[in-house]
Amino acid sequence: MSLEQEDRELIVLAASGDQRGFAELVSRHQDRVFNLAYRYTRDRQDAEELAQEIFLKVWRHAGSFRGESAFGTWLYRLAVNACLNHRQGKKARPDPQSLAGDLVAGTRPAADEMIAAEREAQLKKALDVLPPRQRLALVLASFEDKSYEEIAAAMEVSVASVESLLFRARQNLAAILRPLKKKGEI
Amino acid sequence: MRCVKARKTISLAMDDRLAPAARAGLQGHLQACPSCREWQQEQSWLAGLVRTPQAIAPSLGFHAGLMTRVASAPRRRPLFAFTLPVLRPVALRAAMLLLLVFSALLGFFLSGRLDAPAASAEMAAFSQAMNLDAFADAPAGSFAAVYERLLLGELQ
Repeated sequence: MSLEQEDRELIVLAASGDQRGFAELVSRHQDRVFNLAYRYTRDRQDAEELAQEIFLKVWRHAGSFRGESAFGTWLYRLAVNACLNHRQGKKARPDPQSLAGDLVAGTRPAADEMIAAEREAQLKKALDVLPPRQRLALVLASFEDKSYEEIAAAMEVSVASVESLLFRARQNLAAILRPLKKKGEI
Repeated sequence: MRCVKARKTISLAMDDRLAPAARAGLQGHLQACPSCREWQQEQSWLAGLVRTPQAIAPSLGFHAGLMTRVASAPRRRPLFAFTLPVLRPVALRAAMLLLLVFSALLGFFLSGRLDAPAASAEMAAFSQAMNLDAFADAPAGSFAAVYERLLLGELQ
């Protein structure tokens, strides 16, 4: 049986209220969903919260999966929508140390880690300023190896809109970070 | 090529979305425009920056925490939950068709039993009130002529 067929069987089980089937489905997809959330939020705690919200939506709406598309596509679209609707935690959690740990996992000297952490914190601030659609388009294009057509389908916009979102995201990000780069702060 | 167009083209090139002809046009512009060259270099630097962090795994407690929330999460029971997901559109259409047929049958039976007596009784009362028999010999033509005669008191 293919992975897709197994996913379909598991989502049918989940739709009937089978928590063990749903747990298996989560195990199969949690890394992918969590990493999308993490790259979007750039904060482990926010990402875990967002990824859990995504899976809770899957649980609540499992019955609405009609099998017209692959389960992965359905899940991805749901995750993308959740990212767009996500509001960052009210409490600021810069936590550069843990971010640096995520980045390099102890393979760099401490000074480098500090620089990487500072850079990451500045980048996160800049990304937080971008409109959610620009930010999401940038994340999908940079990390997920998605074509413009796939991004357009996931975000429910046209390919021309994806081109425009990416250009504006890059332009805005450059405008925000340029002064910091010139001052050597990033 | 103008700078705005060139920068949009650079953005496309970064995602390998550029046709060879457009790439050649961009190269021509970049050779002549130091500002756009700088923008391109800046974008390459930014792309590297944005591509961090690398993939990581969720914490060990993620799965257990989620399943605890799932156990207490209310569920929205879908319409036609008793059917297989693939059959739900069919079930929905069948239900709509049944509703339509039922409405048509109900309308058919009720129209014979309720509307007709009410309409005939109402019409009889109206005829009596208007004394329409008095107009039986009214000249063929228009209501205007009858109305005028009525106003002049020629008709009772």
